[in-house]
Amino acid sequence: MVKSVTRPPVLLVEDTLSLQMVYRSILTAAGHRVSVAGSAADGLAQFRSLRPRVVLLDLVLPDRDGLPLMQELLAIQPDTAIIAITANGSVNRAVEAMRCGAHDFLVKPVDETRLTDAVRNALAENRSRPVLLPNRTPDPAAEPVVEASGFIGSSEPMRRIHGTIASVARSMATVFITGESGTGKELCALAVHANSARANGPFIALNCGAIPQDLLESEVFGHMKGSFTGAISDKPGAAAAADGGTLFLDEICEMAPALQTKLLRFLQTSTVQPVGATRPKKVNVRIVCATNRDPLDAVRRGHFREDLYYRLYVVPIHMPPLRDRSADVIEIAEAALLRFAEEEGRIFHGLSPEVRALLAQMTWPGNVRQLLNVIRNVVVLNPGGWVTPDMLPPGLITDAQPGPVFTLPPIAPEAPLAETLVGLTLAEAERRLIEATLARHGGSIPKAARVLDVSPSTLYRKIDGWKALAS
Amino acid sequence: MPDDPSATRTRPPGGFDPARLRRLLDLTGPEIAPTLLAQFVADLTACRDAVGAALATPDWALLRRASHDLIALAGSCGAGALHDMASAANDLAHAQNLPALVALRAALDEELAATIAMLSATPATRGGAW
Repeated sequence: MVKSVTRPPVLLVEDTLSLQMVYRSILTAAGHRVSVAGSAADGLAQFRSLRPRVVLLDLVLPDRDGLPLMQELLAIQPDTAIIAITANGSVNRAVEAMRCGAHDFLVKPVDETRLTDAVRNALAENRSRPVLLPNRTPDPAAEPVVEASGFIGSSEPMRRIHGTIASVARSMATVFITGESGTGKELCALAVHANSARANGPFIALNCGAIPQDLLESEVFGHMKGSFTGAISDKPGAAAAADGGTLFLDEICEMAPALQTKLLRFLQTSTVQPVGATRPKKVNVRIVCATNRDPLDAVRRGHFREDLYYRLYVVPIHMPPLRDRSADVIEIAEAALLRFAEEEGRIFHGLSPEVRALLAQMTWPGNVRQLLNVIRNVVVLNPGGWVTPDMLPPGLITDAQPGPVFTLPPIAPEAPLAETLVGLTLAEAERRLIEATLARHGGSIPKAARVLDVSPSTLYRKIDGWKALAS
Repeated sequence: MPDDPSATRTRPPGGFDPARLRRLLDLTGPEIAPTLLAQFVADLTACRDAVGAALATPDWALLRRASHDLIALAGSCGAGALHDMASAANDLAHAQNLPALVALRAALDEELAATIAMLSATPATRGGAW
């Protein structure tokens, strides 16, 4: 009689014996069949023999690095879902693992719910991955990023971001996007979603800073009819609405502490409980979040939970300010000119050399959003043809001109601050404080902004305002 | 806290979450729980010895591996302070910062000793003190 071999669904490759026991117990309790290997060599042998659908792979093994092993496993069976496991100090390696085709990664110590969810999701998704032969490094350019509208730029910083998106989009890992206001964080989130296996699912964006904090819980998790004054009907909430897709939480650092606790629980359990509901509901959501603040600074100041930070800050993407990728200014401006002209039914030939030079010189404190506003202004207010300097919004040209910014008398370094401020208007006192802080930090706006606990774009706006007054 | 009167009086591990350890023991079941506790002790002891041996050379690969394992072990059994120290040690091992690692070692060994003593005295089933 021929015995049919039942293929076990999960292979665990972990060398620490007690952790083997822990993970096997968790997965067995969740109904999975598990085979265990204690080394890379044993793992490879079991993989060839058993051909499991899912592999949990510790990246730090005693006999071999986990990454080349992972590439070898995927070469043997490309549709295997490999979940990489690593400790805090090697998150970069986990990102590298995703570039090499990992389905997901977990950070030690592995949370029970996170582990079972990762395995369940991996078993549920049946997809093939590109085969990477050993000793080949993946070429991000080989998988071009599907561009979300406006998310363009071929400068080196943007090419790196496109590469990161191409690597991480198809995993479940949480993406944390930082950057000044107007740098395209939401477009980046859209690009992550558009390049993921969830691209056909919903993309739900929520600005945690724009919604009153007493309504934010209801917006995120929903509410039942009658649960509070004004709740005239059931509302599903953004987390439930994003089921099967991506939930984008913008300005995540503005979230109140009480709601941060509930968000952490949501991330740990993948369940939502609307306000007024008695039972939670399971959802399958990929999280992308963003902030224009320094999240670690928010943690240090006690404004953001440290455990939530580490839970969210898995794959960081920093959107550089436009002044740091000036090579993209003209590319973005020309693409915007084409798009806006088409929308307005006008024909523009392009940017004149003088306008190119002017736009390239500017610091763009409002970043891409400011640049897009300028181009839209040009298109709306002019009939067409070449874009010349006289078409640009008034005041914009002075931004490109070097000149003195500060006109108030300098502060004597030894003079007590209170004495120097008494007698000034509030606006003048604010300006002195900003100037003094800038002077102390060598004119660095980002450093001064951190000290003053405002975003750099706030300082840029104020400086622009002073220039406008001076002109 | 376990109430074994013969247990050496050591302080409890810092930041200890007994519920986490109890959950693991419940998941494992009464037959395997004693083995799990003994294996935790063995693995933590091995990490302690590996860190000591690696610092002597120093062997950075061994330090990274040992601290990496310690992060997972400490976190899994609910030893919060040991987990934090292991994370710090792992960062220092990646940075190859020997003076800072040497300075951390005494506190790390003390926390390891407290955790090992706690696990050694922990009842495998809920019939124990906690």
